Amino acid sequence: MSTGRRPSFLGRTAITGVGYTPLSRDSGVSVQALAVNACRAALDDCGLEPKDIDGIVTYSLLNDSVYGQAVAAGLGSPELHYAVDLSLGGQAPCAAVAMAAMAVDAGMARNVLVFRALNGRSGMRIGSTAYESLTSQFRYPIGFTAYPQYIAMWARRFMIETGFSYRDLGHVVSVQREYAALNERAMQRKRLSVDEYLASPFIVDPFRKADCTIEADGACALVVTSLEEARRHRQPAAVIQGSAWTTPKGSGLDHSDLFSWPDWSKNCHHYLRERLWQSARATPQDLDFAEIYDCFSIVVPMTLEGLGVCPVGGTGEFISSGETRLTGSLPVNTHGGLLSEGYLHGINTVTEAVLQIQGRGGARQVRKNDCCLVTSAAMMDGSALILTKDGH
Amino acid sequence: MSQTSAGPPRVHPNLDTAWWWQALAKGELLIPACGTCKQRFFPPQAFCPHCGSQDRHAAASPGRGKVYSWIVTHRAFAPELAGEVPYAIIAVDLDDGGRLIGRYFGDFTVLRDAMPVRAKIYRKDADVLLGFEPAS
Repeated sequence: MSTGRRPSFLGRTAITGVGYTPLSRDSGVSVQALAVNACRAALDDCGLEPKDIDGIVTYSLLNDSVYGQAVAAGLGSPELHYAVDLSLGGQAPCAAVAMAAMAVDAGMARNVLVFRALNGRSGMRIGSTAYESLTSQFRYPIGFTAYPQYIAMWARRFMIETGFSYRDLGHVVSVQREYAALNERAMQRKRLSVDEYLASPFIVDPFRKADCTIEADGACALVVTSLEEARRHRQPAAVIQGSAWTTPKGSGLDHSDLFSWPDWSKNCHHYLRERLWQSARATPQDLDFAEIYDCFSIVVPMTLEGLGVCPVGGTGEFISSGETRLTGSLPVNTHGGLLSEGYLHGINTVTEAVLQIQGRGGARQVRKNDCCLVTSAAMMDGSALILTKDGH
Repeated sequence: MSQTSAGPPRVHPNLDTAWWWQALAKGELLIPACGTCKQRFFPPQAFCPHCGSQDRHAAASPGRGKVYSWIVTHRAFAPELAGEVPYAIIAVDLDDGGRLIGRYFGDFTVLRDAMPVRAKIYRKDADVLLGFEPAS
């Protein structure tokens, strides 16, 4: 169905400023306050003022956030020419950036904020909240009520199909904890050896606690603009070179309808693979590092294999041999991932990629930072981006 | 927060699914089937998710199938389930088509890929639910 023509915003739009609030278990402030503070921080970061903003894209689940309008109000009401409020979770961040970039490229807006804000720990905890949907009636009464269970089901099938082992899961977690130790923002900074991991109890077999992200209070924001405009901002441009998103056949009726999905060993990245690489005019061999959405550990190997970065059945060896460490051939999840930094539904996966491309990774800065893969998806639907340094 | 359910997880049928639950309550396992593309699907819904047809009917199923995936829940994610852990939930590919999910009644330590199982319809509180047990 793809036209084969490269979407016009690619190579012509960029991310510049990023901003965070602290990530915590109890922010003590409203979600609007979190959102506005993160957005102000992103503007300060790239030298913009609220009046320079004319677009906002955000996403939320079950009303756990505020609309972009509320952020505009908190910034002193700049006029928005483009405001999008998506009812989505971790599938959204890369798609939200693309929607902002398309608006910029189409001339609908000049500088667009993308943010995610929530009191996800002290408020509604999405990881264990049983919310009504079209298909929840077939899950909840049998005790199948929470995301760790749904994705554990996919993890088991992935392990059956590919030979990925419990020990391999331990390596995913252990490597990301090494990065987290170097990330002052991370909520969990303790190293964890594979043996310590294997000695810890199951929450829902095949997952242990360390396989699950840490629910967080916090907010994170970034600024999307044209490449031309980006060159006038205070931070270097992370150029948007590739973009794809998908809701494949079999995605079902809602976010957690896994009944209709044919192959639980493959997530949506298997289906957006071709369009993503084509859109960027790139291949997996061009990557210097990758930031992979990881609400749960298993999503990392499933995504790397789905996008053809690793061969099917090859990710266990790739990670356990150290290739995804800071010293390896493809550093992955350099902030420690959502597993360690905290669950801001993947917007912080995108901002980590931006910081690394800008050379602002500090103690965890990757050596080569020209080209990066970023993903936003665990299961049926989702999105991904390829970002590069300006001039690459 | 209005969509968040309160109280114990219970069956809440809707206009597209009530017939399936009513049959189950009578001890019958029915699987929605498409008259146009001939495929079976689940959950019950207004259109065939394979081809979009509205020509659907209910096919009786003997409920025999093979394990496709499974999990063992050790930590209760809802307080009402605290007395039930550890428990296994399995996904089953029915021999006659369709994938279903249910509680597993049996020794979960021996669960394996493609292990043969059969449907076991059971009562829990006021609900009649679908589970599975080992097929002899």
